[in-house]
Amino acid sequence: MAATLALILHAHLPYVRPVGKEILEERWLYEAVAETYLPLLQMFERVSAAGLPVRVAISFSGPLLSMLSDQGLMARCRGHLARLTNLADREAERLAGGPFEAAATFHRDRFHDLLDQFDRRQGNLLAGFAALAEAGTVELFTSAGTHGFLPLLSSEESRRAQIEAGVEEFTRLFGRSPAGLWLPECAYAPGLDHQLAAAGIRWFVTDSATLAAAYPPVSGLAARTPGGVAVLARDNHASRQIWDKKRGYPGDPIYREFYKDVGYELPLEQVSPWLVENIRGDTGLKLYRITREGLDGKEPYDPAAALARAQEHARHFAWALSQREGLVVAPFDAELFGHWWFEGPDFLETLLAELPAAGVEVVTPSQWLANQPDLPVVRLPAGSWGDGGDSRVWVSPANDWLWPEIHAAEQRMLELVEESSLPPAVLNQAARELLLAQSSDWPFILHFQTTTEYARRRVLSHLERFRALASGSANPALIAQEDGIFPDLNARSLYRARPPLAAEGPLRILMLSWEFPPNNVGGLGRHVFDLGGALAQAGHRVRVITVADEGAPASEEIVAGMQIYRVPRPPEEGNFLTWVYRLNQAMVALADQIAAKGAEFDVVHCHDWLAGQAGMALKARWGTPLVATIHATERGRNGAIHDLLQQAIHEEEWLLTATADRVITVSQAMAGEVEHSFRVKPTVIYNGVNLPTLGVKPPRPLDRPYFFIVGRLVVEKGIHVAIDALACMRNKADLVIAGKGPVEGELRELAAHRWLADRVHFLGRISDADRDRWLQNAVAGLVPSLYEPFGIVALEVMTAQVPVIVGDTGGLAEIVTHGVDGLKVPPGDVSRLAAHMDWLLENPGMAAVLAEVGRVTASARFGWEAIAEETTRVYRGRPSVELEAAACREAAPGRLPE
Amino acid sequence: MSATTAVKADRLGRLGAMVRTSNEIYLYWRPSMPVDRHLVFRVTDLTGLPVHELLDGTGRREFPATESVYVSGLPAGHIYLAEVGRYGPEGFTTLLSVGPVQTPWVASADFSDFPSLYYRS
Repeated sequence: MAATLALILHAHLPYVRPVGKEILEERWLYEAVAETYLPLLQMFERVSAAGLPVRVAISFSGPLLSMLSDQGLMARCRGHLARLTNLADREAERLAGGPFEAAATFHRDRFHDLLDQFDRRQGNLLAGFAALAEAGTVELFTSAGTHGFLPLLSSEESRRAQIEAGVEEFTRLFGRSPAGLWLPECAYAPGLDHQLAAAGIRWFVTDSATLAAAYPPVSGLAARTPGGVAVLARDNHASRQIWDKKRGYPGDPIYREFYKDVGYELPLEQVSPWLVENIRGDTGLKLYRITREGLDGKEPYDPAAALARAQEHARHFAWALSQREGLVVAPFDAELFGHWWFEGPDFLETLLAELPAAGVEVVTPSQWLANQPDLPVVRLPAGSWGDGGDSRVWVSPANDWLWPEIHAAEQRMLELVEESSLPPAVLNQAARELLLAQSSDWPFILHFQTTTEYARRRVLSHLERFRALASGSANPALIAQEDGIFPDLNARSLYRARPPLAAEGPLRILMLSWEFPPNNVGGLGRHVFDLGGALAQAGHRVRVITVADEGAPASEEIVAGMQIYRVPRPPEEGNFLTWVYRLNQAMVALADQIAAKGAEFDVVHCHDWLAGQAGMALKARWGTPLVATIHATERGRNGAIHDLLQQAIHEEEWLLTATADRVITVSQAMAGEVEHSFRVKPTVIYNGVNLPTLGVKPPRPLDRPYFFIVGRLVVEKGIHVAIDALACMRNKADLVIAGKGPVEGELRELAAHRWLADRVHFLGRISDADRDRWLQNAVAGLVPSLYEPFGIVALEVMTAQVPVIVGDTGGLAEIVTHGVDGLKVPPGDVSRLAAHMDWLLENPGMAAVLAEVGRVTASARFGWEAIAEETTRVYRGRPSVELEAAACREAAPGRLPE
Repeated sequence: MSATTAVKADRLGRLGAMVRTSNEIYLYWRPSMPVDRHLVFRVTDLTGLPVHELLDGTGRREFPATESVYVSGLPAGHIYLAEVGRYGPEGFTTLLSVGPVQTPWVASADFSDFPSLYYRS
């Protein structure tokens, strides 16, 4: 029994690139180089050379990568180290023979070694880390471009730019793509996973509380998001043991005291050559141990004792891990080790040496994930690793003023890319300024009120430069000297705007649907089949990705001019939502395969939330417009949301409508429902129907007059209302029900209870031919639905020239005009339905008229050719024919010609 | 889209909604032209639960519109639409709406499986 440890270090500093004179902030970088990056690199090399596994994952943020690869900055860093070495020499000399001799000598030797190491590497630390990665010793990964707090950025494009800037800078400097991305502050929001996946990211880290709130609930510290990206959650206990200054190891009194530095302790004249503008600051020469709380009464630092304590702590940590099972994810800011906790690198070195003996396997995330093909798939809420596990640090009364400014700049950036009026150099520098303004460092510093004025100045300066560049009144070359992050940045690519689809010509369409013939559960599959066929008939290239029958392998075929791809049906185990996510991941994988063979798409069209995750993923991957047809909503089906699964589906529907570029509904009623639920305005395109040729009526399958119902046997279809109505009729008739569904048992019981067992006939699922035979001989077709987004069955009854009685709800209310082409009853009104059924039986002449007008109505209003044409208008972003005609009338008012 | 931040701008101004905690949303409003002083912020719950389970039992909360406000005491894991508008004879007229955004749903984590903390000598 022992844990598997994934040790993850995230290295980040705010971007700084001084021009001319030295500035205080550049010391942050130099301190981190001297205390963290170089010591860690040396330590990893030693452990590796000793033949021990390192397998630590290290991320470098974009600003840090840019700074560490900047030769000018590194030359200044070298000068700084040389000056500190000189100071350390003097201090060692000054303190010789006294109580601080051991500490001063230790620092002197340490600085000489650092300077030597720095020179030996010619200041190129990244090359050292790259060599370790090349040898498989460590896994390097990236972070968002300038460490922007992604959930608080205002647009999809801004978040994508942050992600891609980080990936591109990493790839530029390491010559390979990162598998992981450190979400700044572990800040996640639903939907981000698709953008990560689109950038080729396969894993990220989040806080344990975020994964603990996942749905469906998950045990363990790893899962997969609907976008297919693995998420590793921080183990709170393991993390706190290391970073918590009160309860964790670093607060041990033997360790070096961070807050007492000779930069503050020595008389100003003695230390001034090592200060910037004579302002006191840290030099890294710290001679005391923690000893106790507060800054008084500190005792001299004893390097040997501190090393021994670090080794003791490492052995304890290794033992603690040996007492656990499963994956323990331990992510930390890299700067904790060496900078904040001076003995941190010693602790890690001993830990890496002790773990094998303790039976603890240490792995990088990618190594571990390679053996985890079946992680649970879950939805995550928004969260971060900051106070409260949310965004309260990054938007608070101390920093909220900056967000409206940043959001305005984000919007302006998109306009600049769209307008294409600025030269590339100006546009690129404007993008750099925006990215730099978005760094999570500024709101963090403002919230905790550390170097408040500096953070405020930085944000305002980047935004001011952005505005100056946007207005064409600034020289990008001059600004780039200071803000020269991401030298290869291309703003047009980073904030790419999608060109509108051509107004004419064939389109390449990818449809996603979980239903497709012969797998018809409701009307959705039939809709996709007919719409896709009509689009193909109109000359468009239509591909459909759907699901194969149970147990059937993946397949590909041409049907009605469409290319149909079927992914294997995922096993139906566990939560339904998980099944849906697995289905969507299979759809995305297949779409990627199709695209890899050269297929291109102008539009992705998904049907209902069941294919929504795949639609959102493909939009993020390809940048193609996403059109979503919402056939029904969870809220509408159930009247309200009553349980967790329904809520999860409701949220999936919302995410889809919010992400889709355009939303279609199949009736005004559904449009109203979608608008009410999600506040998007859909385009209504009615469902269509194929007009059958009426020939000689087939022989009657039943001697007595009967009413006919076809559909899924679910509560919302109102079939129980029809059975009750049959019992209330004055005339004697039968009721024939075709279809299967979960309430079949209850319906049979109801019929028996009403003494109608011999007059209510359950046919089960029947063929189209049988359906037509039953329908054409029926007194009427009944569609007594309580909830019906459209009601394609009613159209099928009408085209068969059979009278129809429908529930006056949803799309049915829009299809049928009462007394003209059919009859309507209030949903659930048993006596009214019974009265209408009697009336049809007693007035066969009127019934024939209703049937005839019904057929004319259906054929005139619901032909697939017109529906396909209307759908392509939506694809191209054009208003519907009706809206366009209304706009023309408004533009040229006047009387119509006589 | 983002589940946690939404911003909308038009000729009237810019309205932003940012999810801060599982119970709090930060709203800001930057009018681009002089507007009357009687504008109202409205936060509507679009979670789809029965009304009595929604925000304040009615699914809605309103207060005078200012430059910015922290709307607290919201149920976690709900979906909210934020609007700025005014009341007139016809009722509430929306000038600008933004969202929906969602407050994160929460769960309490169980950390009881780690060996007891190390006690220093």
